[in-house]
Amino acid sequence: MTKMNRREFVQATAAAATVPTALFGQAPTVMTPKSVKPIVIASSNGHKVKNGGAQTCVEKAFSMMTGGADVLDALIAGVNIVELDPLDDSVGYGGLPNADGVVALDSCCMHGPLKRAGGVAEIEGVRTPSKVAQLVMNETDHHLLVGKGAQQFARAMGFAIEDDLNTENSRRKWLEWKRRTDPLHYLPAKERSQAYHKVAMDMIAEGIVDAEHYYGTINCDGVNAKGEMCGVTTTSGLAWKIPGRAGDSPILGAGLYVDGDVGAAGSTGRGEANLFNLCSFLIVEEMRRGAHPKDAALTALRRVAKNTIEKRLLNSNGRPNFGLNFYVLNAKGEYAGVSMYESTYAVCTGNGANTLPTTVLYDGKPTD
Amino acid sequence: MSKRFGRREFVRRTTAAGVAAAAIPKTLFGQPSTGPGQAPVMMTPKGVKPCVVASSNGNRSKDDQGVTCVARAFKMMADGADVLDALVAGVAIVELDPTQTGVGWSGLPNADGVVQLDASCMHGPKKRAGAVAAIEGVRTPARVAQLVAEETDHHLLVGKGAQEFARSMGFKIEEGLINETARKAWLEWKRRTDPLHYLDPKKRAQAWYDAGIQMVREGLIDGEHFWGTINCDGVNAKGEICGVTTTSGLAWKIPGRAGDSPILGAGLYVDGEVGAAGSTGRGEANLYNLSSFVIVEEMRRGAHPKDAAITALKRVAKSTIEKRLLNAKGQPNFGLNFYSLNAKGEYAGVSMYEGTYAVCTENGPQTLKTDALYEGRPTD
Repeated sequence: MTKMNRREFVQATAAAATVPTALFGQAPTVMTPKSVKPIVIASSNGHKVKNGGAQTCVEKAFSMMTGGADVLDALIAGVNIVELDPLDDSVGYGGLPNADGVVALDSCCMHGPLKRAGGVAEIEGVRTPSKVAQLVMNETDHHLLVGKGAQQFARAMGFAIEDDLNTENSRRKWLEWKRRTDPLHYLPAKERSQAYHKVAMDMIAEGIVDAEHYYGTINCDGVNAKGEMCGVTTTSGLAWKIPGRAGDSPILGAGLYVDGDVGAAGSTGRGEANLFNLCSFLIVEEMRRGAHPKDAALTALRRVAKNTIEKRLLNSNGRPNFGLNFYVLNAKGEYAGVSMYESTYAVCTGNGANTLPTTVLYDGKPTD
Repeated sequence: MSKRFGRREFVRRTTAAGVAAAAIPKTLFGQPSTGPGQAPVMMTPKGVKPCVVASSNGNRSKDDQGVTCVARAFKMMADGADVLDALVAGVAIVELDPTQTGVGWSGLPNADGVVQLDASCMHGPKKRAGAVAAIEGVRTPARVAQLVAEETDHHLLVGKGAQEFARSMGFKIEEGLINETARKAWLEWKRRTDPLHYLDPKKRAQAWYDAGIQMVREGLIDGEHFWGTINCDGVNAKGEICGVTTTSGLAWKIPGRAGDSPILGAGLYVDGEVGAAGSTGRGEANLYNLSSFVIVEEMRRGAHPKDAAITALKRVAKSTIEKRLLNAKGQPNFGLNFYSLNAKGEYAGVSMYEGTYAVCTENGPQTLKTDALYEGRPTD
């Protein structure tokens, strides 16, 4: 059997219009329709912070994409703004740390036309995990690297490894949480996980922590005029998580799924619900069978609701007591932002960037 | 906020009365039931023919009484144990077997000579799941995965954090845990791949693969152990379905590489009302295609376990477009096996190329041939 090494493969598939560090431009099998209206869609933080620059995530990604950049390069450049912005303490640098005060990040990305994907879970010391996820995709035969191994890989790829990704903001919030949860070093084990949750909810109610940043994440998906689709998800994970806890963001099919011929879906909100129900994958499968992005996402939300049977996860209406959002687009450029309860999302088309209300499964709030 | 109750209470309320008898130390599922004695939502049919299905190593490794994984799991299940307790106890035979270099502590190590294990499990009726990835120093990762399901609000713990969790659950953490056979095989691999410390990095990935395959050809390592894993799924007479997957992962993997085994929907998926599916073989193909989830979704729409798995294999073949992953016929150049069963107790073992699998029913344990998508071998 003859094999092609990676460089040959890359050369064979790279296009004339090369983008630096991007290996793409011409996919081996593109079965998507041409002349789609380009679009970039993201969680609402995709059109909020600018990290001192002129553009938000969706603006940056849209302008790069329409300027001819590879779709995934454009999306990752977009989410890098959010990862690097110290004001967003749910993603990347300055994200709320784990229970030990260590910032550990999760991310994954998928390239539709090339049918390639990469993810990192629980990586420490790197500000832009989405870039590392892209390199796992480009430079290895694997889809997922975790923990210390993911960090070693990032180092080998030339990333500076920093001792601490906390900002003054994220460190102070962690200290406050620690003070509240650990007055006697430790509460009894049975009460502890409940106390953790209660303290966090109190801190949200008191306005110390932004509710959206407790489970905060950014997902960003895009399709260019050629119908080439990609997606990326990146996060610092659940605030004050058990060290080692990986959420849905690094897991293909949970926090993100892209099928180059069908569509892209990604998520923010309670990661465990996506890990259990593989929602992003389910949404893409529903679109494969002809569902509109909105209906596909509602199907996934209903599946989550059906599989949520533990009382501690239900509110007094018997509905899930957590938020969950999906951001979906298909190969035709149709899109939707859909959520369990009221929320917003970001979108950028030829008409500019917007923050829009999502379509909801339930009225009211998770805590009703 | 809704009124909440603690985990222990939840477990009591949902623990079946029959489970209490076959108590396993340290598992909460074995505690005496004080509640109504049923899982919260049980829409599975009664009177199912009990069945346990697994990868073929599930009927090869034996405990000191000569019992294999599927036989132990089936017996425990028939004696009234919780299905998942039975499966985890079954795969522990394989995890602990020192001659098994594809699963558990004696598995082939990563590129640095460190054994890192992956596992996941799902409890159908309880709709709970747990997994660990790249855990070091623990012999039975499937049991740790089960405790992630029982004792935390999470589904996946990785690396050092997973080990810390295991330590806090009472597992002994063993430094430098490695089996002598596995260590010698790693040394031989190291010698072949690192004669000058490192080869040209561009050629290294290929050289690593070639060295592994060459050692398989020379009989130094078992071909099935290069990607070796065990998946084991079971359904009891009440139609309660569970599943577990556990592995030491790809031999000589990049440290930190997680395969499909710890990922719900990739190496394992269970829907208590539909069925279970799990996998062994090239993990990346499942991480990309969420094959176990596809199989359960296909069964949900009425497909037989065999047809559902064939659909998943076709999907894998369709999305395998890189030349380095194709053989001379343009077919995938890797093996991939699925083990599936549904709530009716129908089951199948299906693979990309010829393979075998293990099954245990009332007629006893057997090793059977899989249904293959393609004839011939991956390397044709």
